Amino acid sequence: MTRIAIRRLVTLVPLVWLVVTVTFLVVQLAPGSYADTLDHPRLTPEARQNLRASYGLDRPLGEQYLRWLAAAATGNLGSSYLFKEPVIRVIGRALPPTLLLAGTALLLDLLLGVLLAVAAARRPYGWVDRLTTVLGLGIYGLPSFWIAGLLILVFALGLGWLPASHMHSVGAGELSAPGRLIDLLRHLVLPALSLGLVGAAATARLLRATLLEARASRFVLAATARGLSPRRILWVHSLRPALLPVITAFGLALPMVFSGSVVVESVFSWPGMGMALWRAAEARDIPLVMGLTLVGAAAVIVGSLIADLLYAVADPRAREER
Amino acid sequence: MTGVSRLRIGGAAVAALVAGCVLGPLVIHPPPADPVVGALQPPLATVTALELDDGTTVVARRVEATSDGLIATGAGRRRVVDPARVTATTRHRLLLGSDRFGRDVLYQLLVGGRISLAIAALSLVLAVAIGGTVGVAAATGGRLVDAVLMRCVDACLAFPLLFLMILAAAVLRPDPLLLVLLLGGTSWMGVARLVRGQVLSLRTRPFVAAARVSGSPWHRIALWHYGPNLVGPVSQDTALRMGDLVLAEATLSYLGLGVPPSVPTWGSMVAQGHRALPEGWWLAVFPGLAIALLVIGLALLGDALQRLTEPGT
Repeated sequence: MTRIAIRRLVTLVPLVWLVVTVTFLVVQLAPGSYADTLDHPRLTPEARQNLRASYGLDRPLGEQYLRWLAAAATGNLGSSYLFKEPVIRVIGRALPPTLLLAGTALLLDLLLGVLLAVAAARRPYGWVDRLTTVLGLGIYGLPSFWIAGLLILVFALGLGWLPASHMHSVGAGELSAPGRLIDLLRHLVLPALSLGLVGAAATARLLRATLLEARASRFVLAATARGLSPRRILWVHSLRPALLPVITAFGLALPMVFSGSVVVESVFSWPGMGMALWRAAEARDIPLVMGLTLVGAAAVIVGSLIADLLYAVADPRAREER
Repeated sequence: MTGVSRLRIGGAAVAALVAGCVLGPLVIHPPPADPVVGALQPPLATVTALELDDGTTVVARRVEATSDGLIATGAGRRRVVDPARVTATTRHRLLLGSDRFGRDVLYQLLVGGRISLAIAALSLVLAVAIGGTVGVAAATGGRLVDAVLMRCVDACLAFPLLFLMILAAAVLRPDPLLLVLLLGGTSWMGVARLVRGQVLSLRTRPFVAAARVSGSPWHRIALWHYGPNLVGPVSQDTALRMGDLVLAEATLSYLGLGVPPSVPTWGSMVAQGHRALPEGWWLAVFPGLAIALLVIGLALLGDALQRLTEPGT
């Protein structure tokens, strides 16, 4: 167990390094630099050149790369050209909204998925089961940005119940603390739903299959013979073993949730990592792009590491194999 | 649903969409776009197209003849047309409405579908080519090659891929070919794992040993002995993978990354529709439904192929 954890942690470092290096190459090989994206009538070619030199953008590629790597190794991610402040501070501002959004979406995913799967598995091939199967398949095929648009259309533009974008209302700073929390939650509902619904459909589909498998097993027959209530058998005896593959699938879905939140953030103007990456990439703000990718890649890789460890906890065979 | 009915429903949905996108634009003749009076017509609207002598067309919901001339109304605007200038009058039914530039949404949808399908299909070919090569090489190339290649696969799987794709697409110029390279180059890992597993089990079969004993070189064994036996499992897998690629392509074009803005794809049509949500719900709804229909059809198809070839599951 500990050995697996250590081995995976050792592979984490080269993997993050690989992601960061690929990112560096992509950003550097792209046409244009930060100095070119500035549009100012009094910016002469010489001034642009000076600007490029002051950011060190005129140095050879290898030198720029090694400089960044050396600084990053000591925890210094440099400062953002665009926001004129340390990259760490920009990330510190962008990470909590993304974590909030992705976390709520994962919670919704699990809650809705379990409820739907249990409802479906109570009477296999009954109408609830058929309905959830069809709905699940429908949602699985729909892109999350389209669901986001539909939710905006119905609940924001049509019914006017919820705000269509951003994280706070204008002037929310003057509200009391509970008022601000309610305001935030109201803004959170639609983005979290558009991200969580797709996952919930997948979770419900997987869990329904494993639940049916568990219900056909001998320990459920034994529990029935002991006279336990059907509810207890379903929620405790069947659900617990059936949830194990779901936990694994959850960890594997982490990169998807993280990437998906980038898309949903752009639909709802949610001020998270995705929006920051987008603006940074457009402005060729290399330190910020590199910093965001570093943190994003580390988060995703640590997530899949946790999933692997959970798998090893759940399945003894996985422990022996490695 | 049984395997056969899944095969029928999924196959019908996919075949209808592909045939519609390939043949549809040749068959249907939408009215020329009129961005003034003909913009944002709702689905099922019947419009009158007045072709004028200067080559332009006025597409209107209602045309009234008055003493001032023909009054064409639509999209909340009106235009007076001199009857003497009208060279031809045709009536059209816009099944899915028209967009902000007066273009027929159905026609755009079919043309955009061609591009979306072509990009997804080409990236799939690329993914299968890379994945197949890596898989066969890992399975037959000895332990060291296997270990190195499979660690590479693990590493690529752990990448936050969409994150990187968004980054690459944001800094590079939109280009369909680049999109194919990005999508194909980031989705071959599953194929590689599948092919490696299949080849490892094929290697132990007598016909491979017979081929090796009779002196067949490795490339002939790979092509003629492994290849045909891989078609079945890989084709099930590709049906599902194609759905994922369609979604990925749609996501990137939604963000305005995949193709130049002038080229319609389903993803970019949804994006344009979102910008016009208050005025026209149909602009975003129909391309989204087209994506869903294709992805669900492909999922059913893949599922059915798996059930039909592996009766035990």
